[in-house]
Order: sequence, then structure tokens, then C-alpha cells
Amino acid sequence: MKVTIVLRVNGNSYQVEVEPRRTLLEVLRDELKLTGTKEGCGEGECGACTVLMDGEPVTSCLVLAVDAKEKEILTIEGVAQGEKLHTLQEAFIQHGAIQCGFCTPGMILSAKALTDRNCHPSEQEVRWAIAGNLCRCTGYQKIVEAVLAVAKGEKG
Amino acid sequence: MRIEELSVVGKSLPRVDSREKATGEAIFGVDITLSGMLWGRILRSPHPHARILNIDTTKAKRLPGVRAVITGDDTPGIKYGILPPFADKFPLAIDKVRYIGDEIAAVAAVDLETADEAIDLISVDYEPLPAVFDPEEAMKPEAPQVHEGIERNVAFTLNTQRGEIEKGFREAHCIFEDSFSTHSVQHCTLEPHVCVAKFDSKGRLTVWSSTQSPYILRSQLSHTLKIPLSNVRVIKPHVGGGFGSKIHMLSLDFCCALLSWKSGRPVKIIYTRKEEFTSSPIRHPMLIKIKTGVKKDGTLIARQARVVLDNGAYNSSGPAVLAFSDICFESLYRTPHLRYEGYLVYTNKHFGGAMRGFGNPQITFALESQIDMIADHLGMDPIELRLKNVVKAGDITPCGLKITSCGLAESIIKAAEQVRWKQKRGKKGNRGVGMACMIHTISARAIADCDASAAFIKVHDDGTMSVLSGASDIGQGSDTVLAQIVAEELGVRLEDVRMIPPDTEISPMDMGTYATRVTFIAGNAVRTAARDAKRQLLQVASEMLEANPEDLVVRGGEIFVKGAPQKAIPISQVVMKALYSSGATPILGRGYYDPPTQMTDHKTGVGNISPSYVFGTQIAEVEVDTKTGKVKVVKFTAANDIGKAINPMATEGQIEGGVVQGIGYALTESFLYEGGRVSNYRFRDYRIPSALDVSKVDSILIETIDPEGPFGAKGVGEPGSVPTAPAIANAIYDAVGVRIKDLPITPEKILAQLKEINRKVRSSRQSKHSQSEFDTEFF
Repeated sequence: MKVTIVLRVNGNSYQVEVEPRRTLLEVLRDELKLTGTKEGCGEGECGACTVLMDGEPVTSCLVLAVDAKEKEILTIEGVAQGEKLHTLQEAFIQHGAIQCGFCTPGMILSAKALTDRNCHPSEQEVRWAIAGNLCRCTGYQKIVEAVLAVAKGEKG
Repeated sequence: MRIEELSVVGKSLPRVDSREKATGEAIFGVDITLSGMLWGRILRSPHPHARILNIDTTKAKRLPGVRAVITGDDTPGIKYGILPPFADKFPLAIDKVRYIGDEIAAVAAVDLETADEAIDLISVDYEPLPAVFDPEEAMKPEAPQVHEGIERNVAFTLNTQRGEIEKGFREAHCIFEDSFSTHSVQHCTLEPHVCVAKFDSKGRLTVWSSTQSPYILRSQLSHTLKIPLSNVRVIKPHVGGGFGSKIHMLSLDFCCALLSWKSGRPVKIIYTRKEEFTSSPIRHPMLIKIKTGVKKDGTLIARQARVVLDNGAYNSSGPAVLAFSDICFESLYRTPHLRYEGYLVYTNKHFGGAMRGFGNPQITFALESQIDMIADHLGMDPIELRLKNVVKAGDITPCGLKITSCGLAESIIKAAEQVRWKQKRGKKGNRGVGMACMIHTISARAIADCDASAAFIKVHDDGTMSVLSGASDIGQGSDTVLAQIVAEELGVRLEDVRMIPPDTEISPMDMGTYATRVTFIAGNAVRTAARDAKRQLLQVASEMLEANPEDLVVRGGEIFVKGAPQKAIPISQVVMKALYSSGATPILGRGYYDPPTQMTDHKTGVGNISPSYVFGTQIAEVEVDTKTGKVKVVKFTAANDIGKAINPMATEGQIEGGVVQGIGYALTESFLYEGGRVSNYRFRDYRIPSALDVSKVDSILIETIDPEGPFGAKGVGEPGSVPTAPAIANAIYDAVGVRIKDLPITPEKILAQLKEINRKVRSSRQSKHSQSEFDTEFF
């Protein structure tokens, strides 16, 4: 039986009817049509589904949608301000940190959670922050370089 | 155009598709939704080997929300495989199932939950048969037969001989015989396999697929569905990684299409992560015996290999992987006498397919480990032994490869210099450095006697252009590289060139993204098309500028007479004139490139299959914890002869990613089997490297400027993964004297060998002294 909940996503409120067993990932993608957040494993092990919930990175495939009500959810679609990209997005682009792009939304959000609370992370802190985001293409090197560049105040 | 005059090629420009990937706008196959779309699921065999006696789909069909159910009896019953003579797989099993995960039936339903429930309602009667999981066991006369009529389960054999092998061994001063083994690993693309299929009312099929090769998929769907090629359209959206797993049709593509035809609705199937691990292609495990004869001074004189490839249940690319491992075996070092004996053997496990390196990582693990062992025995530096024997430009290898540009020796020297090899090698303590080299092909004339690519370039009336190419960017960056080539040739900015996603309805043919071929083959095709477009532009411009076309220059989006840039006219003006005046013609460049190569002669095994070859050296610096056996990769250096880096940043990215995949192959990834069943089908148990598991990779790009490649470029897609495992194995030996010849290199194996070394040292010392001074060094 469906319940009606209000989700706050990227600064907007959405009223949706969902079965209690639906995950936040499913509702974001299927109901709200925000397909930037990806499913890589469905078991919280690859990080492709990472979104920020009240500023903390979570694997949305393991969060029930009903548990996300009254939280501020940030998905990749909400990171840029209109056409103006976030410095992390710019840095990822300029440093070659994006190859196939499937891990990128989750990776950017994990990196954002770090840089929002720690302006000058060390390389090891960056690696810890993205340890839960698997990437099979890049080897992580240019991703780490991009995040460190933002920490140093470079735009890329 | 001289290399130093280039303005777009050779620049580390951001990728053309990176912005949409950074914002989440990029549409992948998993994101595609069509009106009325159904969800599909596949029923898979729980047995490694069984006869199918009966399939009852009645209950599944009756479940509300189910719109179609198919079994093997609903299909045309046509086998497929990448190489037609070796086609051995039905899209849905008809007589037998041959591995746990083999496809038996499929359903399409209004949602995934209903599809999952319907799958559980299909009832199958099996007659379990004896199964075999080890390739050496499978070759015994008493082994169960995986495919009828295939004697001793040997799907394919290869025997090649060059020179006189016995004479070679007689002339050798030392002979080394070693056995190695490599294991199965999986591509683990972050995006799983996905297909969306839709038949229209005219019987035409459109498929959106996470494919690396739209034209190959189109051909295989047409063949297995028995519908004309012209009725099949394949569109490639963004693809979340391939590494070889998405070259060929898999069961999901076929089932999606047939379910769509049966239900009259679009159907989508996405593989679960479990299906990715258990039921999609893997890297072939190999058992390798190498016998090498060398002269006193280290010159290689004879080399013999016996290779057994574990095929798994079906052929896929197996025969080509076996043949390719022979080509790499014969071609890295100059060796006059060679013999290769290879067997591709069926077992009742998930099947091997194309995976980055295509047999080369496996054979190179053996070759490059043994070369180090030989150097050690002869008291030579491994660099010296390698430099003495490596192939060079101008060589023709025993299997017919014509080596044109070759930076192999340079890659060894430069990598060693960067690492400060002499200062770090052979030092006390638990750190060590190890090196390994490789050769790889640029494409391969293997599938058919065609290795081509074609391209169209449409120049718009605003001076921008659209490139239609069948080449598939699967994340490796080929769209950017091709756009840079076009921009350079046509004197425009990179942002003025748009790559149109491959669509077999409008994009001209390309064989696909595999074999490190796209930069070279498709690059030459788009360059040819750009030259054709330029010729057309200059023809029109010559009338406008009242000059000869030969005296005109295209640069910065303008055309002008040489020496008179102040009288330039923009390309847009030329196109407008071409399009809107009487006798008008659109500016449409056409290009085609099929390299001057040869298929391998089936009798002799000789043929120059690629237009050029790539080379590289990797050096691993490791630290071994002798208490836990854990290996930490401190640093990696990779020197690659890439011809010319069209985009250095993208080239480095490919190398870095390749090395990290290689680290996973060497140290952390491995399938665990119980009676043919994969027991670790999750990322928590199948460990691909995370950001914490790897360190920096220093890339050295060696530009040998290939005579045939576009602007001298060759390729880099696969080389990054090829020599990584032996570099690590050799570094571990330098660090702690442990030689692991069976991948993966695990802490348990290292500890076991350390114990054995320690025991031997103790026992040797006890015979001389009363107390061993080494006791405290290891434990």
C-alpha cells in the first residue's frame, strides 16, 4: 500500500506516493526522473548511487524513500547553479577526471561532502572520502588531483 | 603539417562529453525509458551441466502483468559466436545447459517485481549431467563432454613452429623450464549490460545498447533473429565502460528483441551485478609452460610454450584469444626458434571472452616473469637481458608482424631512468622494484578480411561541423580524440566539432571499439573525411577569393590565400555560398580507411595483422610486509610508445586506469568457485581496487611518430593492463626473494614461500652454525 511523502531534493519539494519498500534511488530515478544518480550494484558497495542527505553521503540504493522525508537531498542535478558549474565539476572536467562518467555523479557528491567540511584535505583524506566510490576507468589519480586542485583554490 | 605547427592535436583539452557527464545530463542505456516499455528478466540454469527435459511456462504466462514469455523453442535456434566457424551458443538454451547461469527463458512484464516473480514461476525439469571444471581434467578421455562432437573438450588447437626448435635447444647454453598460471577476472564495468529493444509495426527493430560495436551487434541480431540487416538499427548511448565485455551480442540483447516482437511493446533488460559476475564474459584463465634456451651471453635462441586456455562453457572470443597469445609470445623478443602449442578447452563454467589485453596479459605474465628469472640465474641486470633481445624497428617477427615505429628499448631505458633503477634494485629491506615489457597490436585483421572504418563530416552553415562515425566512445575518450583530429585538419576549434553518437541508420560502418584500434583506424577515416571536406570548401572558396585551391589555407575557422590572412573569409560564408547559390552542393566530407594488413594464413600462422604495434615498459615499486604477506604498491611507472598523443591528458588517463586494473588482476581480484558456482559475486567479495588501494602512476609518453597513424598516433587502450602483473611479481622477488608464478599474488602465497625460504636458510645454517642470524629478519 502506498504512502504519500514529501521529499526535498535539490531545493525543491516533491510530493510522491510510494510503497514503503521503494528505495530513494528508485524514487529519484523513476518518479522524479532524476537519472543522474546511477545504480551500479544495488547493494551499497560501489557508490554510484551516492547522494547527499543533510550534507552526508549515503548510498541511496540502501535508503528507503520514506526514511528520506524531511531531509535535504542533494543529487548531481543540484550541484551546479543553473549553467554555472560547481568548482568540483569544473575541476573534474579540466583535470581529465571523467572517462565513462558512470561513477562521476556519486564521486562528485562524495568529494563535495568532503570539501564542504574540510577546505584543505590531504591526499589521503581525499582517498578516504572517495574510498566508497568505485571507478574502473580512471585509476582514481586524476580524480584525486581534481579534488586537491579545488582544495588549493584552483579552478582546474 | 609539421608536428610543431599543430594547434589542437597534442593538446590536453577537456573531453568533449565531460560536461554532460559532470552534470548528470549524459544519458546511458540504463536511463532510457520508452512509452509502454516493459521490463525483462532472464531465467538461468542452477546446474553446471544438465539436459533440459521440459520447461513449463504456464504459471508465468498467467501472472497478471506478464506480457511475454520465451524459451529456446520460441527462437529460430541459430547459434552465434564472434567468429562464425566457432558459433556454439544458442541465445536461449535448447538442448542442454552448460554452466550455472546459462540462459533458458525470459519474460517481459509491466515492472521488475512482476518479471522477477514470473521467472520464479517457470518450472524446468532437468537431468543433471556430470560436469567438469578444470581444463586439464576436461581433456582426459573420461571427462564429461561439454559440447557434442567436440573430442576431449578441445574447442580449438593451435600449433606453430618457426625455425628448428630442437636444434635451438641443442645450441642453448642454459635451458629454463617453468610453469605459470593465471586466473579468471571480470571487467566490472560500473554500468551493467543494458538493452532496450523496440519492434515497430513494419517489423523493423531498433535497439539501444551498451555496445562497444554497434555494427557487430546489428549483424548478430540479424543473424540470430533471422531478420534482414536493413531491418535492424542499433543506437549507442553513453556507455559506462566496456573493456571488451560489450563487444558482442549477449543473451539480453536477443531476448530483449524477441520479447519486444512477441509483446508488441518496447522491452528493457538490465543485468544485475550478480549476472555481471556470473553470466557475462570473463578473462580466460591460462596454464602456461615455457621452456627457454639462452646462450651464455643471454641471447634468446629457442622458446617453446604449451598453453591451455580455460574456455568456460562457450567459445565467444576464445579461439582468437588463443591465437593472439601466440602472436604476442612470438613477437616481444627476437628468437629464431619457436614452438607454440595451444589448447582451448571447454569446462562447465562461465565463459571467457574479450577482455582488455585479449590473452596478452596472461602470456606476458609468464614471459616477463621468466625473463627476470633467467636474468637472475645468469647474473645479468634484467634491463640488460631485455635490451639484448627486444624487437626493433624494421624487424619482421616470426609470425609476420612488420615492426615499423618501435619505442620498446626507449621505454625500458626511460622507465629505468625515471625510477632510478640502479639505486633501488637489489637493496636490503622489504622494498623492491620490478620491470616488465609488452608488445600489443593496433587492431587486428582477424574477424574478417576487413578492418575498416568510414566517416562522414557535415559542415554546417555556421562553420561548425558534425562527424558521423561508427566508432564507439565507451569512456576511453575516442570522441574527443577523433574531434581533435578533425579540428586540426579543418583548422577549427575543438568546440566547433560535434561527434554524433553512433546509429547504424546514419553512421557509416566501423568494426567497433576493441583491439586498441579506434584512434588509429577511425582516426585515419575521420582525417580522410576532413581532407575531403576541406577540398570541397577550398573549391568553393577559390572562386570567392579568385585564387587556386592549392594557394589557400584553412586556419582559425577561416580560409585565406597564403600570405594574405587579412583577406580571410569565414568557413560559414563559404558553406552558405555552397548551400544557397545556384548549382549548390552541401559540404559533406567522406572518408574510409582499411589498413594495409593481412589476415593470418591459417596454414602458416603468418600475417602482418596490424598496421602498427605499440610497446611499453612498466616498473613497479612495492613494499612487502613479511608478517602479513601483504603487498603495498608504492609507485608505478609506465612508459608507453603511443606514436603521438593526440590528447596527452586522456592518454595518461587510459594508462593510469589500465595499470590499476592490472594491479587488481595481480593482487586483489579473483573468482572463487564451488562446483562451478561463483561464490563471490558482489563487490564486497570480489575486490576491485578502490582509491585507497593504489598510488600514483607516473606516465611517460614516448612519441615515435608512426608513419601510418593519424598525426603519428598509434593507440593506448589496452597496453596499460598488459605488463602490470609481471612487473609486480618481479618487484616482489626483488624485495623479499619470493617468486609467485600463479596469479593472483596473495598474502597467503607470499607467507608460504617466505616460510619455506626461512626453513631452507635455517636448515642450511644449522649445518654450518648453531644459530641463524636470519631468524629475526623475516619474523
